[in-house]
Amino acid sequence: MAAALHAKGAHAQDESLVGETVVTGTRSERRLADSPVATEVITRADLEASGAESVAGALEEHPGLDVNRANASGANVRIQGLDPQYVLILVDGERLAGRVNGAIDLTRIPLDDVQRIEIVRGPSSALYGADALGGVINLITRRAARPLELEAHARGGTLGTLDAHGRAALQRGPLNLSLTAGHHRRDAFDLAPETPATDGGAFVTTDASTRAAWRVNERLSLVGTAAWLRRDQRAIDDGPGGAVYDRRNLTETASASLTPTLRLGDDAQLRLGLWFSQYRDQFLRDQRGSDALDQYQQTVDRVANASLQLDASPHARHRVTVGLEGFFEQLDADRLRNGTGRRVRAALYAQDQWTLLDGAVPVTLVPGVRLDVDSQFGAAPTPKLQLRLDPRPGLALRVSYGWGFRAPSFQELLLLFENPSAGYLVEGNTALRSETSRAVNASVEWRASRTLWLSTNLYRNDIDDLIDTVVVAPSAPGESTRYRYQNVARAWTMGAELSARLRPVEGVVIDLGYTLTATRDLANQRPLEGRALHRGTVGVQLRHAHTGLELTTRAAFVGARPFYSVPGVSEAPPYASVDARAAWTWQRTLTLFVGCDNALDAGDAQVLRLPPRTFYAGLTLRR
Amino acid sequence: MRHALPMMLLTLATAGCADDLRNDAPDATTATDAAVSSSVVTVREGSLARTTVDATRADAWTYLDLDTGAASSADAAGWDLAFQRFKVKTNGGANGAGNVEVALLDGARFEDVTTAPTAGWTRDAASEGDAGTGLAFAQGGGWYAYDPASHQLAPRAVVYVVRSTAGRAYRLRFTGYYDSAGTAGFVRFEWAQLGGTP
Repeated sequence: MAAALHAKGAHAQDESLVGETVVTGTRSERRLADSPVATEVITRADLEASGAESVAGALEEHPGLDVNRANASGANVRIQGLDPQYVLILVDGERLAGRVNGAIDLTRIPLDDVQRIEIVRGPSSALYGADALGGVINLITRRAARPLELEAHARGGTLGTLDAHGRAALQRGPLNLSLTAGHHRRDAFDLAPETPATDGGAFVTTDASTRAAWRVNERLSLVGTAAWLRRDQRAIDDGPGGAVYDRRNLTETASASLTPTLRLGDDAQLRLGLWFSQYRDQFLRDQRGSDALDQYQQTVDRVANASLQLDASPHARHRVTVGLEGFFEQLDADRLRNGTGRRVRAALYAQDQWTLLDGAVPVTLVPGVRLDVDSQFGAAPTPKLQLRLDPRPGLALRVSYGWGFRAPSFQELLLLFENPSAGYLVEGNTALRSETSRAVNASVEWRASRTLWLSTNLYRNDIDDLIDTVVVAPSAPGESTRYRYQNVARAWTMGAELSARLRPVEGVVIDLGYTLTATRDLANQRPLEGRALHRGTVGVQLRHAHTGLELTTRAAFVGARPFYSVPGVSEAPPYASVDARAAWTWQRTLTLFVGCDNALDAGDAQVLRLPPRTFYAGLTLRR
Repeated sequence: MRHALPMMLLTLATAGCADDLRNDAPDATTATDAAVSSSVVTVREGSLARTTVDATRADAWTYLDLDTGAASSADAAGWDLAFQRFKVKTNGGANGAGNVEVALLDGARFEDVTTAPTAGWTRDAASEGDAGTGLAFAQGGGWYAYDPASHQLAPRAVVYVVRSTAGRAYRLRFTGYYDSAGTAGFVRFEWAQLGGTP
């Protein structure tokens, strides 16, 4: 396979990245250069250079990702114009518990223990099952590369920000161990001082994670991981009639995994994955001046997954992945009918990486299929066919066609929520089907020279059976309006994603990105809410090897976005979010840095709850 | 692994062990708004009366006697209006034998209404348990407007004239639906007796 490097996030170490492995596109390790599935990688070096402390910050200015900050509850991400509940967020290939309204809050996940972020666009349900319509974002945790690694990192800044983490890792013989712990905090911010409500809550997050890998013998290896996080958020909300609430959310998450891998020969391995993830959120609302509307709610979400996967190469031209999965989820929440929802799902998947031609013009075909059978929505088959053709070294053409589906959430299935003061009632519908998509992606990736790399991707997603609330019993004035979830809507998104990386001179890297996102809500005959038709990103990095100085600037330019459900907003104006960071590294052991996030102070209280301009300074010590 | 396993178990054991947030809520027991500590509060300013009715219960009515300005009950013959959340029923028509009736004066200024109209009187046509469309205060689009985006209920700028069980006529307009802490279900209105009635 020609060295068609696809690593938009890669820095000066592009050459070394050729040997780097990625896992997301095939569920098994592939050299990035050989991956039949276009995979973008944001490396640890990129994450550090960006100055980001959370996954949301790391993705904010990444080409083709749309980090959505419309809600006061945090940030989540859209890909290819598809909402966050259609983007699957994984940690080491496993699902996190605690999707709130279908999406994981990315401000909640610190980068302390993230080695790299892999992004695969387009539907990946043929490998991962539910919720992988727009794409998959896989957070790969850190592992020791040297006999002993020690790291201490601290930064402080305006807006009461404090971020610190420490890490110890060792690689000794058959053992690879690491332990990471972090602490993060920020004050609340208020983008509309004329209202009592805050637009981003204050938080204190403490996290710890550990990973242990043990190569028992030539054939057997074991990997165990555990992670824990506690996040305490305080915010002020306002409600109808001038009500003001002090809100507190205390969120705890924990996850653990055990993964034994048995090598069956040079070209075959069997891997068992056991995974458990738990999310618990306590919500306390305290009305000012009264206790009539005080509220306490506890939500507990538990996810368990067991998988058995065989990777084999029965023939020189075939690399086959076959897997079996069992998935269990239980959600306990006050608003659900009977207070609890449970589902089990069994799945079977298979994918073949078939080298049709090698030689001067290599051609790889990757057919894959997966069948999920769920206790709530029944069976969902998802096929995918991918083709990679390298007409000449450095040029890769990829075409894929695939299906995706999103499982109805427990809320959509089982909700029973009445708001008597507002006069409406929302009820779940156990007869819901999953939402489905059909998607085509076609991309060209061209490594023109050492100084220029170009990539373009055209896509179209057709989504059917979208779930929305429908008024079921036209109610009389004064009675509760009754809404029920139904599979009613259809939509499409299509567009283009363009990326370029230039290295005009040694030590200078310029990244340019542009995405065109056209969308249509076919039920209402209008564009989907909140998507910008045009979005651009610019990243400039200057490195001076001799002095150890490094300057990084990243900017995202987002065009006007239509809104229909936000009072007083029909079109949000364009904005730019700009981050800048300067760092000085001495002998690879000490890095001092200063930076500024959201330098242009973008943000508003309605649809863009970005933290205001923040300055910070800090240091990282490594051994 | 032998180091990691106890660590994993410890990690899992500590999860889900945080305090119950209810234990340290700072003022979870703050008293409700003092101004609406009883079910009906009427403040008089000359001939004008300002009344707040606690109609927060969704399963019970709060009764008011306009002729006394005080709370009443379903058993009392003299009740005029009763409130349940945003629903207002009258002691007349389908809901009582008190002959209470209501006239809607759309577009009139409250201050300018000095005499009872001669026509346009309506009585409750619906029983209390129903949707409320037949209630006299639901005529002409009802006494409030509901904003589904903010979930806020706001009085419409309309004036009513109510004929009470005692045969007196009162001009009445609604002024709010929330108490000072923003709790819904506190129906506020101002009213005054019209001249020429007993």
